Amino acid sequence: MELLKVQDLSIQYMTKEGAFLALDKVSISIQKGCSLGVVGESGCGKTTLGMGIMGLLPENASVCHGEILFEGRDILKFNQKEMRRYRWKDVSMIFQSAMNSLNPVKRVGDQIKEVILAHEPHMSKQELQDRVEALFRLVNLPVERLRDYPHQYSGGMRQRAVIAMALALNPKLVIADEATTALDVIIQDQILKETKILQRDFGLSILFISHDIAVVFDVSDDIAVMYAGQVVEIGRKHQILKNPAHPYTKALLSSYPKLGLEKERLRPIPGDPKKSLVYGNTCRFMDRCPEVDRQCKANPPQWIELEEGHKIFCKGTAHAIANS
Amino acid sequence: MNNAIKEGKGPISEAWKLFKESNLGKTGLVILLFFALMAILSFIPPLIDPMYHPLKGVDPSISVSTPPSLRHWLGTDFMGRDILSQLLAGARVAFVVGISSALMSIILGTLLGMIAGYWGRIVDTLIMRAADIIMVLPTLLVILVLAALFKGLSIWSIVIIIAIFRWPGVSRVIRAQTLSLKNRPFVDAARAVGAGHMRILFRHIMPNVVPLAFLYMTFRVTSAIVIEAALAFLGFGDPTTVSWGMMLQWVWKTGHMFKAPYWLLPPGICISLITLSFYLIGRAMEQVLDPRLRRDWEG
Amino acid sequence: MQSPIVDIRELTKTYITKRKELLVALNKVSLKIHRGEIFGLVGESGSGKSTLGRLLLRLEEADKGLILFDGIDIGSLGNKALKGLRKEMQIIFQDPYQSLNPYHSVKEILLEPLEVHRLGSIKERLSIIEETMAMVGLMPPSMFINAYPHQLSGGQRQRVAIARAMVLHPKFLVADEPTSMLDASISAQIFDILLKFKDEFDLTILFITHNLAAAYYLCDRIGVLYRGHLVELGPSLELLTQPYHPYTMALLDAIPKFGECEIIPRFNTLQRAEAEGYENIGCVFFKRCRPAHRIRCSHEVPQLTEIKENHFVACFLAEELQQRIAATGTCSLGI
Repeated sequence: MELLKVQDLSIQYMTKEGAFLALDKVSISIQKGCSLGVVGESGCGKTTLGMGIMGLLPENASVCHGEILFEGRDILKFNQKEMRRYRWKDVSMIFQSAMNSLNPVKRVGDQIKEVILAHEPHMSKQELQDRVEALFRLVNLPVERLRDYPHQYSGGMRQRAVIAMALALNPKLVIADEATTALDVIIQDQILKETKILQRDFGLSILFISHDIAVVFDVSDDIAVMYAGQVVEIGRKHQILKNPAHPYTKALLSSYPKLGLEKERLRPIPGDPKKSLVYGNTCRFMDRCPEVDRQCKANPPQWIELEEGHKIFCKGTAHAIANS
Repeated sequence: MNNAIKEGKGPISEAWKLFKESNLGKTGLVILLFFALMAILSFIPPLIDPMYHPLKGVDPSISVSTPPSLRHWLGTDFMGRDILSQLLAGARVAFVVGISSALMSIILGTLLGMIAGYWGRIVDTLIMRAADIIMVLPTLLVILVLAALFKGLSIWSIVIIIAIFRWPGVSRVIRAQTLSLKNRPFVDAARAVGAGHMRILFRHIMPNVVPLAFLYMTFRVTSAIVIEAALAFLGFGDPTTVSWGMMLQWVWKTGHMFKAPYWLLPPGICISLITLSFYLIGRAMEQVLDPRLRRDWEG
Repeated sequence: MQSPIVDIRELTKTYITKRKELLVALNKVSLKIHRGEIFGLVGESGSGKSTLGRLLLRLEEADKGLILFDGIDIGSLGNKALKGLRKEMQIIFQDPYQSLNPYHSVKEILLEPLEVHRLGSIKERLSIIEETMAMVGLMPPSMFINAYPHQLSGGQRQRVAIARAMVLHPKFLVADEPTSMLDASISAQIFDILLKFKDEFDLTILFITHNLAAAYYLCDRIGVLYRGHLVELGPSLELLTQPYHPYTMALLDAIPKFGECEIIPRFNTLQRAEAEGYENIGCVFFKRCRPAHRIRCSHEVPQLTEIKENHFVACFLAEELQQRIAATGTCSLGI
């Protein structure tokens, strides 16, 4: 059974200008011990997805369709008590800006202890200390720095502290939302590697959200590509790398400079990532798609399975034949 | 391109739109307009009949304070002068005093704050020390002393003195804003293009600083009006102008405090209401200024 | 051969931090930028790369060293001459949300350079602006000309910033991480625009970035900065396929490669943690350098030397590391 299964999830925001559908029937699933990377540009809804799964949607957001099944149970139907237990003990989150997660006036060690105590109030002082020290060692932070304040840490160290906080209660699933975006490339690499080790050693499942396609491809087993509130391609990493089928995925990959012996000219996607209040039934990528044709304007896109585990949300069957 | 871009929707028209949505702002504005109307109407009573002149007009048939009647809608003061026309004249004074001194102190404070923040070092130190010294002095007391020394002050002296005492508060805030703006990339870009100091100060920094200054002005107006009223009440105002504070002084001095509510209440209520209106406008402006700086949802 | 358009000699800049410590942002950096090339300056945070860009535009003053632009020492210029120089060199910044004045419309933003230098009549100015807007893809100009920054997307704002820089037709442009805050597809559009200007205006560009892949794509030559020191400099293809400096190798190891996330990196030149107990003399990269010489690298500062034609490196172990790579495929073994 999957650890997490999001089924046809639709979430909308109420804004001054009207209702905005941030997620439109999004379905993803994560197996135990696996990592899923969700990649997309601004406005695609990936952050909303992460927040929805954590149960941290802002007040003006509401789930208008679908379910989020964690170990078979729909978290949208949780009462407050179940939600509190779920949040951080079953699923935890790592945000982009560590500065937003860490309280600048409290010692780092104390903050982590607080988080643990909130869920396990009966821990003894010694047990607490041992647990936090173990966490620090886990994320390669020097135990002597437990009593420091966040501003005394470097950027990479802060991010590690945030990861330690996310792992404090041994969650089964960790959601990382742009967790390494603000970091230098060398620190980013170290943290990604350490994350993979943790995943392997603890059977952790990870939902890795980022706009950086290279990072997502590096760290995930499976990949979901999102555009304008919808998933447009989903599959195992090697499947998508070998055979990116959706025009948006292809365009995204080809607008990324890669190191290689030959310098290919990048082909940027014209226009800006779509984010509008009203969507019709037709394909949302149409106006920027290099492979658009008459069929796209007439029919809504559908799910096409290219091979086991790899499918795209696009026009007709011509794709499946041409690319498989 | 899929972004619809409306023509000329500058930050100012956007701000106005937001302001209009705020209930606080609308209420404040309505009250203010009411007083503005009063101020404009203040010219009318003497034209109807000289006895309605707020200072010099005396009803020949009345020589004591009388309650409201058909001839005098709010009654008369101890000399037989019409209270309503005094009230209207007081509105005019409140606006003049309040707004002029606020405007003066804001302009002075903004300029000095910008200069201090932008140039730094000696200029900054000098201006800020001066600001510190002035801020420490108790405004009302000093004005009282001056009034006693010069045996009373004209209304314009009062306006100017209030302005001089009130600029430090604004300048401090504007200086802080300027310091942060000075290092913004768009200022660097202007320097890189070759813009000189004057251009940067007035075309780049000032527009970004003015909204804050404007906000502070609303606070200043209230304090100016209150100071003037206090001065007048204590007997140090300009005896040739009729202000609400002056009215209160007369009520008190002539022993009518508890005997003539129709005389006591109107000026008191007006002072409170006009202060309230500026306060509400200020609050609404705060709301307008703040969220604009934040980006709205992005996913 | 033509003299370089920008010649930086022993440029040094230090700051005094709030804690009264001395921070050396740039330490005797020397390099030349040739006419018509795109020069990539790569470094992480704290490398000094942005500081270099700012010093070139004289947004800040250097403490020591020389900057020659077209043979002229820009540090010695008075205000008037400096203003004239501004027509020749411009800069675009990283943050599209902060590099435009929120109270100016696109028209006012683009007119500013022309107004400052009193170029052209009103009509001429308008046509220059529209031409430039067309070049950066803000089409049709009439749609954008009266817009305000908050109405534009990040990519559009960055285009306005580029247009502002290019309105004066400068010879030299410093692009300080112009795409770090933009989505990948928008970044690619910006790259395209820069390349277009380079081709059509014979523009020389200094492209400052932390993204080695982007530098490789855009640039002819790349210089690698580490904590204020230039550690390697060479043609971009060569630098990336055959790096000489262990820091460059560490950067290459760290780049996400769209493939498996190897636990043991290829070159493996980076220490996990900084070496303790050494003073701050010697090579700037010593404390993090795995293959470093305990004695020599910690006491002597390596100078930038030409190891191959047009390829410079500041490392005592450069030759030795190449031999190791040829023999074993890596520089060090183990994690």
